[in-house]
Amino acid sequence: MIELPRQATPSPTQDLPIRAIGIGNAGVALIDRLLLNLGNLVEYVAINTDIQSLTASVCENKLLVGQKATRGLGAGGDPELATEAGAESQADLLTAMQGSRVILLLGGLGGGTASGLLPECARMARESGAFVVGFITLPFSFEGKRRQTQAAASLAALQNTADLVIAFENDRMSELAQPNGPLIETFAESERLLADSIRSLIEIIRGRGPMQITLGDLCGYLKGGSPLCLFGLGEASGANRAHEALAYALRSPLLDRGKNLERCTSLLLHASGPADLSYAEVQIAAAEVAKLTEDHTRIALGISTAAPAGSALRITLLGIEPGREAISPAKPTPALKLRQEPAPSAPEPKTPSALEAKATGSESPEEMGAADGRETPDHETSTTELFAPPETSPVTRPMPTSPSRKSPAKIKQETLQFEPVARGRFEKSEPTIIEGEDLDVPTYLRLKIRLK
Amino acid sequence: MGKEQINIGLEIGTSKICVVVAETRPDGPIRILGVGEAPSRGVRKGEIVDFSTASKCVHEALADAEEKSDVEIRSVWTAVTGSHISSFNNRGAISLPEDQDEITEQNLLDVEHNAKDVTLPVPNFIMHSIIQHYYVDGQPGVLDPVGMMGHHLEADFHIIHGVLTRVQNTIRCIKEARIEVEDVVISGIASAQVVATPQQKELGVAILDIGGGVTDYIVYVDGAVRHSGVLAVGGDHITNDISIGLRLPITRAERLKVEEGSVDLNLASPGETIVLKNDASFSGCEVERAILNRIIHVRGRELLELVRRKIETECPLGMLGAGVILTGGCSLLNGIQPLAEEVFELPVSMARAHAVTGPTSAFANPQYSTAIGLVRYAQAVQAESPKPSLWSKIGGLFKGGFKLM
Repeated sequence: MIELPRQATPSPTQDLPIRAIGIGNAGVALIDRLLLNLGNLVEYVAINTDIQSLTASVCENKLLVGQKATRGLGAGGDPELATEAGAESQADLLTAMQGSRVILLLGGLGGGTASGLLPECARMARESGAFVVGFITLPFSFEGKRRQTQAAASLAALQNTADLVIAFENDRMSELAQPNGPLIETFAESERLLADSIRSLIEIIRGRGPMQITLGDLCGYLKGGSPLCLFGLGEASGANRAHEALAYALRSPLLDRGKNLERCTSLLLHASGPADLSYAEVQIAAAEVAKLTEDHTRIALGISTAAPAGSALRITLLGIEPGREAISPAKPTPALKLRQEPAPSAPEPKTPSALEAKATGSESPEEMGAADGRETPDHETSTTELFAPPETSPVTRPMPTSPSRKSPAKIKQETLQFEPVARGRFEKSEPTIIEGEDLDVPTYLRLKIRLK
Repeated sequence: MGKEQINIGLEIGTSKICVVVAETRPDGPIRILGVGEAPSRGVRKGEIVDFSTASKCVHEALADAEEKSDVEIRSVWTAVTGSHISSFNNRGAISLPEDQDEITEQNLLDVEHNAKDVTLPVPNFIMHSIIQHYYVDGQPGVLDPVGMMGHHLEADFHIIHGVLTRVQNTIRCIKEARIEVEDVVISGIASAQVVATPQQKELGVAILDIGGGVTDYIVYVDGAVRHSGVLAVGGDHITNDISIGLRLPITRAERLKVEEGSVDLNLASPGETIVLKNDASFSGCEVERAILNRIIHVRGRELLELVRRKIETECPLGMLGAGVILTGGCSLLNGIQPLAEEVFELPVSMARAHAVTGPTSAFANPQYSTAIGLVRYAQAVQAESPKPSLWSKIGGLFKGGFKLM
């Protein structure tokens, strides 16, 4: 039943080994979705405390944690139980977190398993030298206060342990689907958006083209701020594809027609298309994005032209939004705090090599040793080149204080009014683009004429 | 003297729907019997976006016209516009058979067919193909080669094409009101029928029809259409700019533009304000005249400069001996004439419908020039066809290059 990848087997075509690990019911469902959408682009691992969800999953590498603690029945929405389960299966988890340069941790926060295990898994993965990206969803507000609190506490912990956290709010995702449609569709839509964003991220860091975005760039631009990511993806082909693809991307509920872009502190704009992608098209997209953002926003532009001829132009927007009150951890319950502190600190003093020794020791020593012996030095050296060395105690990394988070929002007050209504009554009509200008936007705004 | 005929022009504009009922003779002036009008809803940038609403408005306008003219309307000539319409010039060429050396009507049709044989985007079809001039054995500037001797016939055509389904939507909308459509004409061509005289077209003239949603422009040189096009920018954009810039509701912005707006920057004295009274949905406020006029000025100037650049790509402005004619609702904007003169560096005149009489003074209003132009176009088509019968109507349909469904 429980199978672990004995060794990381990156296929020879892929230069950068990436592993997607789904934790909890939502995480496993996402892994299934990714498997269907992406095929074997990356490695997959499904981790859960619930045996049913794992049985149903199509993922090959499955790991049931906490057999004693939960008896395979799931954590029942209790992060403490999940942490207990994690401690029980720590050795298995460690093995799962090793052997890949980039680890994507997927899960839906708010429940038990993901909230309890994600921060801990992120720490393990990071200590093994991988670049850790957490892709998480935050619960719907109607799911209740308790789940919100659990999610917020877990998110705060995850931020300290992962390199980059990309959080999506289910509340906003719900705008994707028909409000009266079946709930299952709303969840499916949200899953699809997440899968899209993961696919885009993978393509961005693996993409080839005149302006590449490397993992290092990604770190530099997206790391260290708030976890809240804004994501939009648009695809279009035809004569006006740059504008249309961007318009689709901006239509993402997370971006709210581009209104939310101006809150971004940094933004990644990636255009991926066939080799006939022209300078003018990139310029159109970049200029339009620049209009929607503030002057001080750091914008990273990536272009990849590796797509097969005739395929659509795809534009991805990934922005970091300063935290908001609603999401920033709202007083975690004391019980949660107590449980969390000892858990991460327990394996802390151990060096990565000690951790490895432990991991290999628990599994069949010959095979694991051989596999790790080949792998470990390789990724350790390369990560030190690429990234800043992992901090010795990730838990103590200073959290940005809330006043400093709010300060960029205050500066914007003066010009804020104009942007969201820029097209006014023509918001929904076919845009009039002539000589690269959107003529539906008032002339005085485009010419930057001050009225007063 | 030919038989009198009733022709009706219907224009579905972005801001209003206008129906002109007129009596025409093949060789006489147009006599307007009545003008029906209704505010237009469900139309954006010259094209229908809300079918049922627009259809209701068409019905209202037709009912208004029937009442005012005392004529029962069965069929209309209608105008279409929109950003999908574009144009180009193309030359067709044929060689006459060995045993023939006199050019016949059939040869003209053949050369037109040849000129129209171009690859268009799939959804598009040719709406108008307008002869500019013929070349007979290399001799340029021939206007009517029938009967001339020659072996090689060439012809320059101005070809206007648009997206078929978008044009069909306009027709469907009128058919909803159980009215037949005789033919569809591009708005620019329709208004050019009445606002410019043959002499002006001979000298070279550009006609700008600045409407609510779009600006149609057409350039005549040597009596033939040299260039035409549609820019999806019009008075609505000015209203929208005002609404955003001064934070007013759209309806108030529109009223402010019509009543107080001007493109003239020097009109406002420093600090002069306009007081907007409050009404049911709007708590009054004060706006600065200088700001209002600046918003209108930058948009107006941009639009005119854009048109100037578009015209210059096909035809040097120096060739426009008769200058520029402004028409359409937006040409009523205060100060637009001097601004256009400044931008084009040409004499600019305001449109008035020529060779039109009638009990109403409708023809003096540039808002009606397209609808009156439609009647004029109908008159011209009927004058060309030999017998004013049902067959000529069907012929007219084909002549316009348009086939229904």
